[in-house]
Amino acid sequence: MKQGRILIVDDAETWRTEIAETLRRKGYLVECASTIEQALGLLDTALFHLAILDICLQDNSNPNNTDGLEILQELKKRKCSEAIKVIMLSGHDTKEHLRKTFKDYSVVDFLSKGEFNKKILLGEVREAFAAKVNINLGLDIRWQKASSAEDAVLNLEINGTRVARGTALHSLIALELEDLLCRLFYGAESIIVRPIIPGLSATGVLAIQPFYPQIGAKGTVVVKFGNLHKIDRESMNFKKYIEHTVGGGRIRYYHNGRSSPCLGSSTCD
Amino acid sequence: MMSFSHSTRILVIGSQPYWRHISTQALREAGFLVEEYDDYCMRFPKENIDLILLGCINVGCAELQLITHLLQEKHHLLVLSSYLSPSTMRLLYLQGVDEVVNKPYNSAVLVDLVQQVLGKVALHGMSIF
Repeated sequence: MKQGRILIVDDAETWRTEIAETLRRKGYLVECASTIEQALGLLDTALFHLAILDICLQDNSNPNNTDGLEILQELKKRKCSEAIKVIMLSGHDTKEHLRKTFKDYSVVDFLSKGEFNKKILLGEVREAFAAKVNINLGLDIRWQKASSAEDAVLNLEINGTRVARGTALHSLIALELEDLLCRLFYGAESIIVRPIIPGLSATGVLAIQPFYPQIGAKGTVVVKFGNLHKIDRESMNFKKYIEHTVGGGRIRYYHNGRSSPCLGSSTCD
Repeated sequence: MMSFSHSTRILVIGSQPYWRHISTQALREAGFLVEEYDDYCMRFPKENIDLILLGCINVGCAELQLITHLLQEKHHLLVLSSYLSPSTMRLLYLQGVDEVVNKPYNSAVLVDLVQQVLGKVALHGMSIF
């Protein structure tokens, strides 16, 4: 069973420690940041499903300090709002902050530090994973032909950088690929994954056999994955040049937008 | 900003006649098709409504019941309340209302607000994700 990954961003050490310990005891993998710089650094180098953000970082006496909102803005800019869900936990629960976070950034919830309760926070996190993150952490992924996620992501192009063996980017993107599969095959019990040699488009291709509880095996699904922008472009190319050439409903094509922070996917079965 | 008018149909629900009257008039002058209701009868038209405005003094049990009903019917909803606490705002956002604000008594502010909400609704409808 994979672990839910949570980022906590709060400048107050007591809050960070208390929340982190509470969540770790429940089996979540937690990392903490106290500043906007640390938070953005962690978002570059690690994978998270959920972030718990304070609004005012570093200088609590300054009501104009809204570093937490800048992190939300950055997540939106990186198109990570779908992949990383956010719960706000702040003493600055003003109407304006509520409006901004709910309407501009679609946060999962906004909890007030003034009414903090561990049980409520745990309930919110559990609910967020069940209803919003949409990830199947119990999915059993079996790689065929001595392959692995590490092999499958080699040579992908992520934001202008080729994924090379042994680099930090390599392990991060391999982790993201398994994450992406856990999101794509939400209802499945297990999947058998067979990598297909990709073309020259710097995206990867997998043939996947999913197994569902009660139903059993379903047809093979082809998953194309890679940098979000590339996948968007390939999806447009598919619609323009290929879709009309495949008649008789033999192929169903999906570009459902499921994504992890760096990777997007398109699938057909 | 996107402009919405002639074919955009809006329901205004509110028990205060003065507010309901100036709001309906302002929206009609802005080119919207507007119908007004003075109670929470829950017998509103179900189809072809682009936005419902609920104006109230505060969000109490009756308003919450109506809001839940309207959201279940998949309507887009703008709640305008004279008294509004952060916890009420949080509750309504979690329920799924499109916007909740303090009730404006200035016609231009109301029309601008309606345009903004309709703009967000349209953008959300166009989003792939």
